Amino acid sequence: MNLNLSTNKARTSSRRKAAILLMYLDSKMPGLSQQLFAKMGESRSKMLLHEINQLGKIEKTEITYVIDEFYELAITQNSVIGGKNVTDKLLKDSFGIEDPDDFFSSKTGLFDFIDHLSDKLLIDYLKKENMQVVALILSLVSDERSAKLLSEFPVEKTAIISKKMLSLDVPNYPLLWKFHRELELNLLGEDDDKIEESQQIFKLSRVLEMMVSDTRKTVVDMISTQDKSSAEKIQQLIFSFNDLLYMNNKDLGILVVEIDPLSSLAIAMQGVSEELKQRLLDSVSERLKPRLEEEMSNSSDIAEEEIQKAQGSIVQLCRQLEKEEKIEPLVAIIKQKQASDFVEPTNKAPETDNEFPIDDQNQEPVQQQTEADNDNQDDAAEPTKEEGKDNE
Amino acid sequence: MSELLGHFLKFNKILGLKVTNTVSTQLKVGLCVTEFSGGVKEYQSCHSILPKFSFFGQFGYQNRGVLISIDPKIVMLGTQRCFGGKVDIVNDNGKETSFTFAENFFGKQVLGILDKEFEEKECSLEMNKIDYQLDRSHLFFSDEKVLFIEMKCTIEGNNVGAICMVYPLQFVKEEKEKWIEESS
Repeated sequence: MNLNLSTNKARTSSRRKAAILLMYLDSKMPGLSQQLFAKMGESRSKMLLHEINQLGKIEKTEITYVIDEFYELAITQNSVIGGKNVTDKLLKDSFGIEDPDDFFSSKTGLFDFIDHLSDKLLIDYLKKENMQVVALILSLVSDERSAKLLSEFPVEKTAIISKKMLSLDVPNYPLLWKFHRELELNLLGEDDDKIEESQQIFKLSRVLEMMVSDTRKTVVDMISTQDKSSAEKIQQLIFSFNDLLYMNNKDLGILVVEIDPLSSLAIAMQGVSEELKQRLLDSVSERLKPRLEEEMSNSSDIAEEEIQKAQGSIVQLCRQLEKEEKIEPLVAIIKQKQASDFVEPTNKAPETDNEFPIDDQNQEPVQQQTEADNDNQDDAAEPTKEEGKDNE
Repeated sequence: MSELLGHFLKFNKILGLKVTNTVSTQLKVGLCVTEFSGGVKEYQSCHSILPKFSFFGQFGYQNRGVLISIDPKIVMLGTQRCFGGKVDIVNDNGKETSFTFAENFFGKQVLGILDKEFEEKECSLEMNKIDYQLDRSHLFFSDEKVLFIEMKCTIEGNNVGAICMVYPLQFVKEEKEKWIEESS
């Protein structure tokens, strides 16, 4: 009879696969699992050992599936056997632990996965939990975090939980370890899905960033028809050439020095807003400025495709400089752009005016800022920021 | 049938003792059965005894099932004790309508103890479902004769409701070789 009613099969399956893989590797290369366990750390090892403990006999098809998935190797063994003896042996070999029961009888590492949970996720769970369990968990997290989480409860509940924290008895640790694993599956399983989704979105945004803007737009539009929320998230992560308008002068100066050849900057500058053109021109040295202007006039009839290609390569250069920490993180610029509600600075302003009629009083400071902006390039992003605020 | 019934009641009495003993030892909860009763009834009369909200375990048996109910008080106060607390009757308002993740875990541990007992007897029971509402458990016809067991419990002297079991008569008859040994 199987009483394991855990709903998170995917997660369980991953652990099972890891356990099978480890057992298989150990059967092929004895001692390898010991090294892996040593690398894995105590908490993860405990989880995996528990899984191995539950394995029993594994069919060849399952091993084949796991190994194929891992690195496509031919399987020659019919089955691997997990079980308590194996767990005991691994504990002894990896950690020198003679009594495996003792291993799961201490609170060291208990609920340590909670440190990786966001406060929001944890408080959402704790608010729905039995107050005794809340007291126990809060007693195991850092004092600062415990205080912060406790403050999220209504006063009456805070008092009850605090009282329970004061009178905690020694619980049944082996049972708590069992609970630890189930809770981890439940909470981290959810969290992992979210991370995975956000990672996919992040990855896709970077891929799209490398595409020419027309293709990018088509792809984002296509995603938007099926999943508007993801499309919006992707759009929010994409850094485009026009976003250079929001880059500070120092970073812009570093960037233009790195652009080689200068003609590619001239090509990229075709068709962008006058404001951005001016900012870029002001960022190059006085010596190079006439050359850049000349290159710009030479490339005035360049094909759109070439312009987008040049812009794309400069965006990639920005990412590279960001990675090398030569310039500030681009996420700050994207956030600034979002705060300003300006996706396309050149075209959106009139639309915004139509949507949110601004009276003369509101318009005036914007114009003043724009003039001031010409005098002081450090404040280049300010006009749009102000306008954004008005819109908000 | 009456002799068989007598044996089956005895088997369940011993089962109750084993469960409370294991719960007390393993889960650190001082659970005691203070009152044991049982007999053949129509399911609809059991329906009025069983709590509407409880920790119900549904075990499959052939084309029928066995229903086990653990009173929410046992689950909630048991969870408190199991997680290093004292039995806190004061803060238990008895008006809960759902179980938390930890309570669900505790309830599953108690059911697991019963499950293990049946497994050791090699009774062909299979854990199918856990539910919290009686009206979502449809294992018996309302006029069907069933064997109903009620074990009223206390935790550290406090009344905490009962652990109830509803068996189809088919199970009592067909599995008798497996459980009769225990009671003799």
